[in-house]
Amino acid sequence: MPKKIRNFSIIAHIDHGKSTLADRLLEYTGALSSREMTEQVLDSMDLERERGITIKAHAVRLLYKAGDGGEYILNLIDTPGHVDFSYEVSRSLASCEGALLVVDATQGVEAQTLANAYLAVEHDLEIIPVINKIDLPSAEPEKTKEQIEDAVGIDCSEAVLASAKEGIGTREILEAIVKKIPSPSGSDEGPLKALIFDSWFDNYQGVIVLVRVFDGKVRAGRKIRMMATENVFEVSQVGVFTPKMTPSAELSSGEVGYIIAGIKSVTDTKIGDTATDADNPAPEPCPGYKDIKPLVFCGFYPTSTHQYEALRDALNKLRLNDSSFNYEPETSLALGFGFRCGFLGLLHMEIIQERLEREFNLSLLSTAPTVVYRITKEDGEVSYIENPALLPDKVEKIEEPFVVTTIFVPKDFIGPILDLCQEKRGAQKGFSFIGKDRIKVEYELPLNEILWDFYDRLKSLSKGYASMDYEFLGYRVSDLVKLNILLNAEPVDALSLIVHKDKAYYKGRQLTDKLREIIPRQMYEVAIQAAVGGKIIARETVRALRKDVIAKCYGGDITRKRKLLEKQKEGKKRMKQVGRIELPQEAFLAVLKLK
Amino acid sequence: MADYLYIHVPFCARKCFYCDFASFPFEEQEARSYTDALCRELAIKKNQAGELKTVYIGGGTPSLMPDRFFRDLFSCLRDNFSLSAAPEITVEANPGTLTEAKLGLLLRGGVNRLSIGIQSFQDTELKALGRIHNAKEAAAAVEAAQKTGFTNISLDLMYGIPGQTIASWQETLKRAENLRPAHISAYELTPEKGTPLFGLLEEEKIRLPEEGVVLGMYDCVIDYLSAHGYAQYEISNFSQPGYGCRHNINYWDRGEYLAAGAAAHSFVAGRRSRNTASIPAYIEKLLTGILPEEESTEVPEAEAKRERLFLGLRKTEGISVVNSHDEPDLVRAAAGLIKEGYLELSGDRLRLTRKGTVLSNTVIVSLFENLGL
Repeated sequence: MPKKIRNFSIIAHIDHGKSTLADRLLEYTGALSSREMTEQVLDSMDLERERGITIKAHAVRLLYKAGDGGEYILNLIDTPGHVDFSYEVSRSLASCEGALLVVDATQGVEAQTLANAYLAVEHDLEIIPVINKIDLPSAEPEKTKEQIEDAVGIDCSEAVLASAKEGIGTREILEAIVKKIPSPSGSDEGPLKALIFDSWFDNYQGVIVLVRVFDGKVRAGRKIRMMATENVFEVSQVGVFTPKMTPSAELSSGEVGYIIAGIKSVTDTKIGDTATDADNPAPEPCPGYKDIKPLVFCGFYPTSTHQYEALRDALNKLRLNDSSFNYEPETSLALGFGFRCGFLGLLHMEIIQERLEREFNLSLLSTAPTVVYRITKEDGEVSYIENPALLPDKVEKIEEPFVVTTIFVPKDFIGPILDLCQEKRGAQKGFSFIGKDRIKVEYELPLNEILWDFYDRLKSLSKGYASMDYEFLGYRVSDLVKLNILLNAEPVDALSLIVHKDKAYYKGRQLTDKLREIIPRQMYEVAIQAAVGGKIIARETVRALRKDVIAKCYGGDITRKRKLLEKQKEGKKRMKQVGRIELPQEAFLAVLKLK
Repeated sequence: MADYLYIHVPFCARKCFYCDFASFPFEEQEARSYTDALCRELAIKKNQAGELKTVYIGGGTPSLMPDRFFRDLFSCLRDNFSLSAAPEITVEANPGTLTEAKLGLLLRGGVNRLSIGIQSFQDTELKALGRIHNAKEAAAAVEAAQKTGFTNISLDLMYGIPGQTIASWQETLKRAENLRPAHISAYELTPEKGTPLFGLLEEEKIRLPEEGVVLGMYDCVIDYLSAHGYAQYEISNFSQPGYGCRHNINYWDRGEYLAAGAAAHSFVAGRRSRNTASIPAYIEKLLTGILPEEESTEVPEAEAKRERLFLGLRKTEGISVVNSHDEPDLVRAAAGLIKEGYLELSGDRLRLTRKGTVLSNTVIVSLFENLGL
């Protein structure tokens, strides 16, 4: 007798209403009363709610009495919507048998609709199309269905028409989940096989791991073994999220819940690992995830050296909740001791930096993001470089990562988008209409070129209508050079970057110009130079500060003037001392502002 | 107990373009109520005062006030305070408001120092500042004061005015010096947010002289006045021997002072407090016998140390490193800045060099940092 359990995810392009729909399902099934609903319950991090995006996966158990009279357990596993977090989407999908594909009826299919739908297909999930926001006057449900059939290739004749905001179609969605998504196929007998798809650190309970049990059972008192790390733990509690954390007697096959097992350290668990019985292990783990490597790197340095230890601890803690970024210590001549961190993308990097500063109260300096270059030296030795400063002077060849980028854009905006891709050294690989007036273009582009302002420009060139997604393609040889920045004739390693040879002169000029605007006047003149291979290609000067004095200070001015000086001191504190020169954070990101 | 008393008179004939002080157009009825309120405040605060070494009546434009104001104020001061031997009693005055009669009244009332807001001896510059007087009236005011018998007169001058040149500034200095006042204050014009001047600069309707020119003007005033018998004793203040303003020196020594009047700031018993800047609120509070304080805070030790440093370094003689309990730290913290010529140690005193003076904010912030303040 199959269990009355359904495990599903909701996948969607950003802003297509995924979180609102999740809220509606929680409300409808009584997991939360409408009084308890704060908007978008599942987005629990402040940052997630502020930015309106989901960063972390969540899992909630819903109880639903279906039209067939049966009581079902529906496990909703939420997924992030941004391209940077496709890895998390993939982890969540591996725990499910089905997915709701939510598409905004006013926007139609977007790049991440497609990317996420393909992921679901890869994981062999039953996909239920949900056409959302049908209450809006500009909704075009039929056209949207057509686009889904065209682009994703799934049948939309039974797509559910819904408005998560208005609560339209909620019951139909729940019925479709029960009817269409298969029940889990595992067995309660035999050794435990539980896939760890998320974990986080709790100050009181230690590490909490989220699992999907495929086979067997797990309960308090059992010893479990992590199959990849081979660590053994004794389970102290299992339970589910309703969405409140609720302990239960056991978790058996098909169920989704949490395990607490006195796990103290980050390194003891690995997301994607399989937990099994310590004494009676499963013969093989669950299929592993695609091992995703960080694509974007930058250096994080504390602005004051005494925060180095605190930064390491904070990175350690964040890593526990987010296995998709990594870090290792690095030393910069200019910036001292810090960490080189790898991320899935720029948004991911921004979010980590913001969390470090906000949740851990650190004052950080980040260097400009860079990709990983593959270097072949003259002696044939191959190495990977995540920091432009480490590029040797003489190399046989430099290869850079290329991605294939898929862009969806209304046909009216296609012209400028093609120009943009051209400017970014792109090669067109595909061009097709989706429906009557949307175009899908595919370009092979150096990752380096889309890192910086590509997305912003794409959005502004298309009045916000274009969407994009990208996938790693491989390394290709490019004509790249190292652009060094010298301040008062001293090279500043943290400011160097690798650029295409054809753009070196132009970028050097622009960068020195930007730095001149950013570097505040100091007691000394600051000469800013850009150099390629020892040849100076651009120079700017920040004139010395000559006058900085309070003209008048009498009885009524003292407090105000003291505060003025204190403010000046605080501003200085946020600067990084490089030799005798004080550099603001923006200086290290100036390169991002180049066209 | 404070031995220094400041009295604020928040009335002006018209607000100058650059002014961000508490001053409002003179209105007779309001000025009368204000006088009463001021006397009430002084009566309440008398117990916080010792034997007064200085009284400073500033503004606004105190010299604008009717005779009755001064008569009431002087009698209030006589009734409630005692003066030390040879006190310094200053009134701020603006040309165009100093009649012979008023000058006589002030002198007889015990005022022995006048600080006159000349700013410039160039009519175009005075206009650019929104002053109500012209150069001729400025000179006349000084001469009238001297004729009345004032010997301790200070002139306020200003440089860095839109349209001002080194030559016109030299001319102003020369004409000021020719009047042989005992004291000269020379301030760089500082555009403050919210003033009409600031707005005009933002809109690029007018422009300040180039930075290099303004620095040249500062060099001018130091060189010119020192050559004519005026020693610099503070960033913007110069005097003939023995005529430094004792009231102001007390601020830079971080001495305590009592203050009365709208927007006036006191520093008594380690607390800095501030009166409301609103004249109606000030009057109303005092009518019911309540002090019109808006804020009063004890200065924590770290802030006190910062104050001592930045105020003390305003003085040309600098600060003593011998009597300071931070002495070894201070000398060490200053070492780099001394080496680079921004500070100098002369005997037991640490002071800004001329190079350091024009960058004093940066220098002081570095000192704060080096001292962990």
